[in-house]
Amino acid sequence: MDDDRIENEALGWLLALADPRFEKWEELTAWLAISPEHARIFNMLQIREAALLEELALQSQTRPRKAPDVEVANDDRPWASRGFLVKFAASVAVLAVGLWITTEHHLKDGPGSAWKEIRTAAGGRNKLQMADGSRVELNGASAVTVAPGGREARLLTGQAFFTVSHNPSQPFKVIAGDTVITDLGTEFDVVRETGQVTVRVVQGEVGVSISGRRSVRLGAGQGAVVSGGSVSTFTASRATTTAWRQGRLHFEDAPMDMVIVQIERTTGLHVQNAPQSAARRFTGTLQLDGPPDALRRRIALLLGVKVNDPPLEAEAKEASAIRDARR
Amino acid sequence: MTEYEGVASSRLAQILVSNNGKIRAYLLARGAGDVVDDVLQEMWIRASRIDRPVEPSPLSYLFRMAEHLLLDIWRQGNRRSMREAQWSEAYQELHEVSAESHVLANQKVGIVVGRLAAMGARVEHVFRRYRLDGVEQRLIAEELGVSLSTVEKDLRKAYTALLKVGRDFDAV
Repeated sequence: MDDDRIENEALGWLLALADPRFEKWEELTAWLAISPEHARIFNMLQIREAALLEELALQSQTRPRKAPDVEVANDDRPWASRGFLVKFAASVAVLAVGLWITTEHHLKDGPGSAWKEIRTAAGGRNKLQMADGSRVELNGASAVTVAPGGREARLLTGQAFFTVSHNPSQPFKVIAGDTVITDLGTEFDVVRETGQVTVRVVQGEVGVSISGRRSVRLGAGQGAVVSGGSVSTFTASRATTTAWRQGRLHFEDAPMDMVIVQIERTTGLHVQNAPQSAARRFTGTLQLDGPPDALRRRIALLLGVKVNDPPLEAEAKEASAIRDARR
Repeated sequence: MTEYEGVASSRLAQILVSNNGKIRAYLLARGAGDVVDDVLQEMWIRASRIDRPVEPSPLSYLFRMAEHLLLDIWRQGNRRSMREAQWSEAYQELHEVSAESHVLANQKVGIVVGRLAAMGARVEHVFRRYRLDGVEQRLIAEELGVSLSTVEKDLRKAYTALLKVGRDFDAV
């Protein structure tokens, strides 16, 4: 059936178009121009896709968090033969941007075991459990790699919370650029940004060394910022440190640009800092749950900044607004 | 919103002007003959306000803008924009979808969502990560610890679920 072939091709195009980095517009134009049927079928599918996406977005807003356990049949032979057991629990995120994923990777030593890399997009989350029971939780816009045998992780960028099993004979190490955080059994948060690493300890004690030289010990409620080879310590309340993992953000006298970076990382929204408020500092709690519009308004109100939709959604919305105004 | 005073020419607007032909050809190929000029006019106004860098490239950004504007027009049920002989089916569908009280429309979308869910948590998850979160397929594969081709197959399955409902409901 000719229609079947066209539908499959149209499907392929829609799939490709879904990638934000799609650039084959002229090829698409050529395909569409082959016959009116091509365009008709393509348009129908795209409109249907748009309706589906709206429906899914609505569901994300109203559904409470759920975590069904699902055994995933992995098509991949190499992974299966290494004895990896992967269980997925998917639940809808409190923010209508992105899904909460809990993946429990159980890592074993073995020939050819590689470091495992986990990444999240802004507004996303991920979790990882190691053979010794230690856990890593990743905020949005972050990436971490973990050693196959456990007890060592590298924070490549962004924010991760570590819950480390106690093992005095083998300390757990987190490497963030030049900064090495050593820990015997504790809970702590690490943020790695360009030129700066921030550590906050919730429980237990960690040692922070920079380029193997300076070293600082941090206990519960203490934090340190490592920047340009120097360290400065500060008080890191439990509320501030654990907030992002509990659906809110908490700041105590934090500079505006830091607040904005944390909001963007955790929610995936774009926040514009007005020049006049750039030097301000902010203290307060921001709840992250509820519909995205309410969240945007709350952020704008609380901080006196402009919060944008991702660029293209904003374009479409403004197009509608202008059209409505014209009627 | 008063950030922009008046309409000034920006680099993006200049790129729009130089590539007018390509974007027009795309819109015509989509079947938007009636509204091509409206869309291009709208794009000129919007492009003129944009001074920041855009992703993935200025031309691709403009094509996306054209596509969004087109979909927007169609979803508003603007019959003027479609040649009825060809688009009546599509119009029917989107008109149903935009009227939220329409039971058939909700049933259709609900069925598609149900079908997506029936394909398994991983397929649904991969679809959402790709389509809603905008994560690259390669990165989704890394997050899940599966191969890229597994992710590609999952997406293909999800999109096929999207396709099937239409067949069941097509008017004879």
